[in-house]
Amino acid sequence: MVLLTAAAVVDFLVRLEETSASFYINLARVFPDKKDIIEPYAKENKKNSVFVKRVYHEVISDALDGGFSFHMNETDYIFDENVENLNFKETIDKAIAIEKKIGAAYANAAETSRSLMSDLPRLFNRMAQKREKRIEKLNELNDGDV
Amino acid sequence: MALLEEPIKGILSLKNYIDGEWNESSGKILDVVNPATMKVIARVPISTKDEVNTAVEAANEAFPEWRNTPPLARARCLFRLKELMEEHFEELSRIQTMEHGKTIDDSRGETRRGIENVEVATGIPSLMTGYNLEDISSGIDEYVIHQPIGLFGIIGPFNFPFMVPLWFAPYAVATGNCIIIKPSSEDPISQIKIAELAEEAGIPPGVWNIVNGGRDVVSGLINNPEINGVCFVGSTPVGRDVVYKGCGETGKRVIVQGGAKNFSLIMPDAILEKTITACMTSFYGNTGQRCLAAENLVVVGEGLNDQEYDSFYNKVVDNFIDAASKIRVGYGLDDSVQMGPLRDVEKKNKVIDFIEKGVQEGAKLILDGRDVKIVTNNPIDCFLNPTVFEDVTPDMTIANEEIFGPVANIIKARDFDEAIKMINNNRYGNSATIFTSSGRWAREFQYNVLCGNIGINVGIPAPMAFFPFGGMKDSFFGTLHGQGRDAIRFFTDTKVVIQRWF
Repeated sequence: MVLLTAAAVVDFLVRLEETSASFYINLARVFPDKKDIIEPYAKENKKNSVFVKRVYHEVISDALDGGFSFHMNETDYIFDENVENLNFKETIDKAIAIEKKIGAAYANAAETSRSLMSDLPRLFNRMAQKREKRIEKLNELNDGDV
Repeated sequence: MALLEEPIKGILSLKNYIDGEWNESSGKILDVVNPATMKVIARVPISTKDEVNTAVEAANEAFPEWRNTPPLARARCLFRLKELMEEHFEELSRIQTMEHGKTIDDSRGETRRGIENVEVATGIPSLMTGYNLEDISSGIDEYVIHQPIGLFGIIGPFNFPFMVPLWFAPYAVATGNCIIIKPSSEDPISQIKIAELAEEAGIPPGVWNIVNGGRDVVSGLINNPEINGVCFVGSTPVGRDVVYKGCGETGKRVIVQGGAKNFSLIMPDAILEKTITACMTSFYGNTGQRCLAAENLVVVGEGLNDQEYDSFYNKVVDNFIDAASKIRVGYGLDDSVQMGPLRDVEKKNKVIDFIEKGVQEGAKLILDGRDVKIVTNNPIDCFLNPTVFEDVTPDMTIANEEIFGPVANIIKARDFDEAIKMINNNRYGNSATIFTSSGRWAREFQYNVLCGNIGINVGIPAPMAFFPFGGMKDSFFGTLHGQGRDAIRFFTDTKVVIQRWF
C-alpha cells in the first residue's frame, strides 16, 4: 500500500513506534537482566508517538498540501518484531534492523513533506536522527560495551 | 485501509441552544445525510421566526452582564473553550467528515484553523485596547475606547461547517457581544458540538446561541431590529439580498463572503513538481467545494516562442492529468483517501450540468470524472472523480461561473498581461494564485490582480486567523472582514472621549 496522505503517513509512523515499543517490552521480558537498558527504548517510542500525533494535529491545515504530498510504500518499512528463540546478539541485530527501517521511514516522510508544514518534516528529521543514535547504542550493546 | 471509527452512532436528534438550554423546535425536521454512506446521521429542526425571536430576547437579556464581564474573564472562557476543542479534536474532525464528506486530513485542517480563531480571540485584553493622547489642548486629554455593540447573527455555509462560524463567533463573544449562530442545515452537527463545549467552558446562558433552520431563520435574523450586525458566508445572490435588502434596510453592520471563480497561473519558470502538488490541493481538496479553490488553470507562455510554449503547455497538462487521475476517491474516514464526495446529490448534479455545458461549448474533456470509481465500499450517489477540461476560453460558462466541484479548466494565455486581464474581467475576486520563481512576476501579480486573497506558490491562500479573510468584487460585500483585527473592529464601536477636569 502506498501512503499518499499526511493522515495515513502519521498513522503508519505511530504504528511503527507502537510495534517497536512492543518489541522492546518483549525483549526486556525475555532478557530480564537487560531490562534497565532495553525498557527505556519502549518508553521513548511511546513519547515519540505522542510527539508525532501532536505536531501533526497542531500544523495540519486544510489549505496546505497534506493530502497530496506524500509517497511512501508501506511494505518497505514493515518489520517482524518476534523475539522468540533468538539469543541476545540476534535480538540486538534485529533491533538494529528495525531501527534502520523506522529511521528510513521518517527520513522519507521528512523529505516528501519538506515543502509543506515545516514543523512536521523538522520533527520527522529529528526522529530519524534519534534512530541513528539508538543504532549506535545498540551496536555498543552488541559489542558488549554496556 | 480500515475506516477510522465513526463518532456518530445511530441518529442524533439536534436541538436549538437558546439561553443555555437545549430546546426542541416546533418546526419541521430534516434528515442530515452522510454523503459517503448515504445514511441518515441526524435530524435537524427547521426553526420558526418565533424561535429566532426567543433567541434574540435571550441574547438581549444576557448582553448587559456579558459586556460588564472583564475582558480577561471573557478571554478565560475562550481559553477553556480552546482546551475543550483540543481535547475533542479528533471527534470534532471525524464529525465533519461524516456530516460533510471531506477527507480526514481536510477535516483536521479545518478543526485546527477553527481553533486558531479561538486562540487569537483569547488575546482580547490586548486586542481591544484603545489609544489616547494627553494635552490635545492645555489640560485636556482625548482617548478612544472600543465597546461591544450588542447582538450579532452568524450564518454559516455547508462547505466549512466547523470553521467558518469561528471566523466571527470567538471575536464577537470576546469583545463582549452575544451571538446567534445559524449553522447550515445540511451539516449542522459540528456547530452543535461547539455549543456543547461553549456551555462546558462556562460561557454564560444567552451569550452563545444556536438556532437551526433555513430561510426563515436567516430572514428572522436579518430583519430583527435588535440584531446589530450579520456575518454571512454563502452564495453571491443570497449575499446581495442579505446586504442590500436585509441589512441595508435595517441598518446593520455586515460581512458577506460570496461566491468565487479563482484562477491559478503557471509561469514557465514555475517549479512544476511542487506546483502540480499544490494544484491538486487547490482544485480537488474539499472536493472543490471551497471559496478559495482554483477552477481555472492558466498556462502562461510569457517569454517563450510558439514551439517552447507548446512544449511547456503539454508538460503542464500531462503532469496535471497524471496527478489528477491518480487521486484516491472515497469515504474520508479512510485516511488513505484524498478526495471525498460532494455534499449531496443535488450538488453533484449541478457539477455534472457544468461538465455537460463545457462539452457543449466546445471545451475538450480530457479527464471525465463522471466515470466514478471509488476506493472504499460505499454507494457512489454523491461521488465524482477529478475532471479536467482543456481548450477552455475565458468566454465559456465553465470559465466564468462558480462550479464548486472537482473540475479544472485549463486555459492558455500567451503572456502575463493576457492572464491578468482574464482574472480582472471575471466578476468574482476572492482569490488568485501564481506559480513562478520570479520575484518580478510575483510582485506584478499581487500588485495588479483584483482579488482579496493572493497566493504566491501557494494553492489555497487561506489567511491565518490573525489576518483578515479578504475578498473583492462580487466575492465580498462589506468593509471589515472576518478574523483578526478586522473582526475586532467589526464587533466593536469606537467611542471618543475628550476630558477636562476643572
